[in-house]
Amino acid sequence: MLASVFTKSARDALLWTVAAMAVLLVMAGVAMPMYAEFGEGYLGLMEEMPQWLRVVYGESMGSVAGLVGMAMFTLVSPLVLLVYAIAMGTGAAVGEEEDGTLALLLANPISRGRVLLAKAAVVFIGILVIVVAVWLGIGAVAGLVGIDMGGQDTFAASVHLAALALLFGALALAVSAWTGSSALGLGVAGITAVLSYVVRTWLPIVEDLADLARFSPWHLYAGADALQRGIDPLLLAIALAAAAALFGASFVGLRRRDLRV
Amino acid sequence: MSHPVAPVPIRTEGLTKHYKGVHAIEDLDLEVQRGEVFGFLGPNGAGKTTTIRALLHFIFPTRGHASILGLDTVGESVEIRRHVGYMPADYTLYPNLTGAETLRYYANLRGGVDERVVADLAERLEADLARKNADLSSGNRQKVALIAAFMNEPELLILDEPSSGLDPLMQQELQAIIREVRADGRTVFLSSHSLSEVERVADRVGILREGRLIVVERVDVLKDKAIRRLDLEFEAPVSADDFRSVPGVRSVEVHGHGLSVSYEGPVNALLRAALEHQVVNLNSREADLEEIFLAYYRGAANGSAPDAG
Repeated sequence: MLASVFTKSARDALLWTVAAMAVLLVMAGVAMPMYAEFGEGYLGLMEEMPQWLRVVYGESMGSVAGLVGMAMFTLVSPLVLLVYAIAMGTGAAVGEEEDGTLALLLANPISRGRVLLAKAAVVFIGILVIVVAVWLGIGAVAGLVGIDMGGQDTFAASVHLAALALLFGALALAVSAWTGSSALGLGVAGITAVLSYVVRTWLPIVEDLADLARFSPWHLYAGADALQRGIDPLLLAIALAAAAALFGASFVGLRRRDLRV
Repeated sequence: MSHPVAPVPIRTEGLTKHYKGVHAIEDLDLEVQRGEVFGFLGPNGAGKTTTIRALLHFIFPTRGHASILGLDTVGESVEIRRHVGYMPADYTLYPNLTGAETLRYYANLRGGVDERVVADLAERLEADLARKNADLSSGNRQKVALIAAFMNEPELLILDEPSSGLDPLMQQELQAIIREVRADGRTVFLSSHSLSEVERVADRVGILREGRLIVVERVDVLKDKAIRRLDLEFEAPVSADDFRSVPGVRSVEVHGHGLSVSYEGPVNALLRAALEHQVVNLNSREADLEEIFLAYYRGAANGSAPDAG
């Protein structure tokens, strides 16, 4: 498992990848049977929710399957995946530099760009693995507890979720690569994620501000409403293009600055 | 890579690095010859490590140019590192790997190394490669990093403070390994703040002061310029005045029957003066480059560096 920077980084990332996956699968495994059992009662309660809460949580909760989709894709999965993507993206760009292991690594005939590529590839694959596991996990649990997910496009939601995680992971990667600072990478990407979530989720409560919410990066995910409407090609393309641009920028940043080794 | 003429291992021309207003290195002109051990000396903060970081392209020079084995340090860094072994002064080993795993990882990145060389180095340095790096003492971690630098039998070794943390026996072994590398026709660039470390193995030394190279000289020439010390013990007390006027004598100290003299140049006149008395014991101390080092420093600080010859 130490054949290359990629395999070593994959091994190092294994624990966090499995942990993120386990958190989400446990969430699905605990929440979904509860919804199956008490879902109709929840829905009755939701009927009485004020209008502004409906705006926040969406109108898609008319069924138990809708409840499950909302529970898994509105906050929990994005939260866990973004924490993973931002932390791993930052680590890919400056982890070894800050740990002090980069000096001996770069004593070998390998360019800093190659190191970044290998480490970013691990984050990319890690995100995909987690998203696929969650998608399969939701389907499996739904089958076990007898929830009909037929009306919910969990695949499309998972694709958009992966794109969102790639976008913020690439932002963390780019900021860290340019500045050489994990604090800045985590801070900028983390704060951007929280603000964009808040803006996209809460601005629509005020009718006059609802349009502004579309400019939040979170809109690329939430605005697609993929659970109901399937993949939104435009929003997905924008999210992936932005992620790719940030990914490219991280190489430029890393190759032009002095390393602290 | 094949070169019609064996390229110079290290050449810098006007190499300069400024950080946020700090002149870390300034107009460094340096040429290290094939098959020599070059001692790169200076106190901490003089710019030694900055120079090495520029040579390995971890940092960009502000001005100037450097080449290693004829290759440009900025544009051909990966190819350079194929032929160079590097031991940093400041590094961390992967804590969750053993020494053996660490070396295998680096060997894989090099496309493989001769396992026998690794085993031989590990045996000579008495390195424990089976334990996790996190559990190793600083000296044992140093051995792992040293093996990593030497294991691909590079044409050029760049060693930054390689002895720190090693016990005296291992320091001697390292010096022996460095001499063997030189005997092999390969080149060693040895950076240190300690002259005693460098003078035992280096052919030439360069002394760096506040980012500027103030002298490059052969070690034996520097030693000739050195102030040496002689401790003499007499049967009866002697007078310091009998020795102060002896040519070459710099300072005289008398303590009971004993006499300590520092001098430069030939020792003949001093010995003749001593033999006027009954000498019981005589002890000569090896020329100390620390003295020359300080002399150069004081000289440069006063704007009157001694002639580098």
